[in-house]
Amino acid sequence: MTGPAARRPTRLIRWDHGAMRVAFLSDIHANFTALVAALASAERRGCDRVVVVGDVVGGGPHPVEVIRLLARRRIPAVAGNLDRKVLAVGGDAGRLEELAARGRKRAVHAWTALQLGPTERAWLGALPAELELDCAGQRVLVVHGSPLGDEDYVFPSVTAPAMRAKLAGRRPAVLVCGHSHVPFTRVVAGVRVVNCGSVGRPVDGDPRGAYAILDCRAEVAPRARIVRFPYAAEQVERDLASRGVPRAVP
Amino acid sequence: MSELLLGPGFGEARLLGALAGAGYDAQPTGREEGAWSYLDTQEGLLQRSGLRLRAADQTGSWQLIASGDGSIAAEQAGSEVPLDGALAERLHEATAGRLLLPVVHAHRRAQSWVATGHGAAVHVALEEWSFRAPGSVRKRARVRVLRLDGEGDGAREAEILATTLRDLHRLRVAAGDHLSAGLRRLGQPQPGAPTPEALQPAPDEPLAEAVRKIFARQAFKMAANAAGTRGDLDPEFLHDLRVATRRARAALRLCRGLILARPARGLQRELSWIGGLLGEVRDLDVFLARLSAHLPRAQAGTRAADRLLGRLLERRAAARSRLAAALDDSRFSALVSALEAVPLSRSRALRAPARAAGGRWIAEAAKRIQKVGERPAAELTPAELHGLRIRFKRLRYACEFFAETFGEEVQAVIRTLVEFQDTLGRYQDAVVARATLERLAAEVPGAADDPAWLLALGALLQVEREEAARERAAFVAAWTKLPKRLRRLRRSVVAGTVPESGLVAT
Repeated sequence: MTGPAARRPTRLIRWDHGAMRVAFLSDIHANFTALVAALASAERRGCDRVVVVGDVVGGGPHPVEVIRLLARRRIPAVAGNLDRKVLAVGGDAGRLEELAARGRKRAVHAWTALQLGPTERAWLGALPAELELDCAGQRVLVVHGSPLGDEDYVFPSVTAPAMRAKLAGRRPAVLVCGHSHVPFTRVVAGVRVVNCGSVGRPVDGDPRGAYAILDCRAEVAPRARIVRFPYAAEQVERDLASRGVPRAVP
Repeated sequence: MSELLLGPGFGEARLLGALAGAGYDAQPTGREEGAWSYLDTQEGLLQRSGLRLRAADQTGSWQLIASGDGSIAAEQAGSEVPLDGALAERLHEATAGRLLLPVVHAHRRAQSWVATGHGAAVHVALEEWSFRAPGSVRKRARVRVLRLDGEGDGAREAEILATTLRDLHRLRVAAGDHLSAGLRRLGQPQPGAPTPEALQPAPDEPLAEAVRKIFARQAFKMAANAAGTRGDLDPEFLHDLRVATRRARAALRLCRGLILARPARGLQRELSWIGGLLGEVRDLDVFLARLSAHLPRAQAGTRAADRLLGRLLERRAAARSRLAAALDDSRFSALVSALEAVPLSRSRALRAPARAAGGRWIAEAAKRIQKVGERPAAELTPAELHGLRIRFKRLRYACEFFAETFGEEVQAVIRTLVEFQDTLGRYQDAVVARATLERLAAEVPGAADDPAWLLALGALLQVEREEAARERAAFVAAWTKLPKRLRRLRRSVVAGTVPESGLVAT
C-alpha cells in the first residue's frame, strides 16, 4: 500500500439484512453541492446505505462542509490519496503562501488543510485505507485506487490477469473503487468490479456527477449500475473564485 | 456576509431546525423594523455610478450606499432632511443636481439570532422585505432573506453555514442588493431603465432576431417610462416614452415587408395614436421651458407672463389628463405587448445577417440626406429644413438600431448626427414657438385690448425670431462638413458588409 494509508487498518462492517441497496460515492473533492445532489439522488433511488470511496477533499471549495456532513450522517468512508496528501501538507498559512506564490500543485492541498479545524482533521485522519463490507451476505471490498494502493488505478480496460495481480489472492464478491474518475462496472476474473467515477469532478466527458449503486441479496450475484446526476456546477465555479482556492486541479 | 433567498415554506421553525441539524445552537438576539425610500434620478445616474440612496422614512436619515459590497459610503441623520456636507457633495457629483425621484419604497422586518457551533459564532437574521412601487398602493412584492454574518472566525463560519444551508435546503443566493431584488419582484425596471441584456443586439445575429429585438427594446422603454409619465414625476419620462414610440414608428418604416402587413398597419395606427397624445404634452413642456428662459429676456410684465403661463399650464393639464387616461387604457398595454413580439413575415431577407441589412438601411437613409446636401443650405426653406430634420432623425435611428453591430465608427457618426439634428431641432422649436405665440395672440379673449399682453407676446416673438436666425446660421456653417461625413458613414457601413443580393425584403 502507498504511504500512511497503509498504517490505517481495514475496517469491517456487517449489514446483515436480507437485501440491501448501497450507494458508493467516490472522489467528492470538496464539492459539497455535488455531494448533496448525489445523496438526494441516492435517496430517491431507495438506497439503504451510503459509502464513500475516498478523495473526500482536495481541489474543491467546500472541504469543511463535506467532512461535517459525512461525519454528521456517520457515513462510512475510506481515505483517498488526496485526503492523505492534504493531511501531510499541514495547515501552515506561511507554507500555503509560499506554495501558492511558486504556483505549486500542492498549494491547493495547503489551502484545503488551512480550512480544516481540529475536528475535521481528526475525522479525515481516522479514515481507513479499506473497508470490508458484509452486505446481505456478499463480501464487498472498498478501496480508493485498487487493493494495491490509493494511487493505483482500475480502468475499464483492466484484464483478468491484471485484476488477479491487484487482488493479490483476495476473493471478494465485489471490488468497489474510484480514483480514475472513469465510472464502469464489469465482471473481471470472477469479481464484480465497480469504479464509481467521480461525484465532484467528472472527467469522462459527461459534466454530470457519477456514483454507483450496488444491489446485494443473499445467494444472488450482486448487481451494480452507474448513476449520473446533475448539479449546479456553475455555483461551484463561483465558490471556487469567491473562496480563493489557489488552483482547481490537484 | 452571505444572503440567501427563502421560499414561503422556510420560516423561523425550519430555520432553527436547520441550524440545529448543522450543529449550531441558536439564541435569539432581537427583532427590528424599518422603512426606506430608495431614490435615483430619471436616468438612473446613481445606479450607473454604483450607488444607492435611501432615506429612512421614520428617522429621516439618509444613506448613500456603495452597491456591491453593501458598505455605507456616507450617512446623514436629521428629522428635517436638507442634504448637506459630504453626502450632498457626493450626490451632486453623481447626479449633476438632477431631480431625485422615489424608485421604490421598502419595509424590512428582521428577527436575529446568534448561532454558536464549531468553535465560532454566526449572526443570523431572518429578514422580510416588502417593496412597493411609488404611487401604487396595491402593487407589492415580498422578498424573504436569510442573512449570515460574523467577525473573525465567525465570518468564515458564516460562509460555511451559508453553503450548507444553500445546498441542503435548495436556497438561492440573493443576487444584487435589496433595491434590485425589489424592482425585479415588482416587475419594474432598474433606475434609468437600462436595456436588458437579452434585448441587446448581437454582432452576428440574423436580421429576424435583430428586428425582434429592435421592437422589443422600444416596448421595454415604453413600459419602463409609462409609470413616471403617468405620475408626471419628471418630463424626461414622457420624453423617453415618446422617443421609444418614434423609434418604433421609424423601425416599422424600415422593416416594411419584414413584418406581416396587417399587424404592421395596426401597430402604425396605435403608435400614431399614443404618439399624438405624447406629442401634445411634450410640445407644451418644451414651449413652457422656452418661455421660462425667454420671459426675462423679453422683459415681459409679471401679469402678462402669468396670464401666458397660466393659459399654457391649463392646456397642459388637459393634455396630460388625456395622456394619463390613455396610458391606463388596455389599448396602451396591448400596444406594448404587440411590440414585444412583432409577427415577422416569411421574407428571405430575414435570414440574412443583420449587419448586411443594417448597412444597407443606414446607407439609404444617408443617401436621402446627401441629395438635399448638394444644395446650398442658405436656400433651404423652413419647410425643407423641417423635412431635413426628419431625415436626420431617421438616419440617426437606423444607425442606433445597429450601433452595436457596427461598433465605434458608427457610434462616432451618430454623435455627429445628433449635433446636426439638435441644431435643426432648436431651429424648429423656435419656428413652432413663433407660430404658437401668434396663435395665442388670436385665441386669448380680450387680448387685443390688453397692451401689456400684446407687448409681451411681441417681445417673445422677437426673441424666437432671433433664436431661429441664430440656429439657422449655425446649421448653415456646419452644412459644408456634412457631405464628407455622410460619405464616410456610407463607406464604413457598406464596405464589405453588403452582399449583391438578398437584402431587399421580398
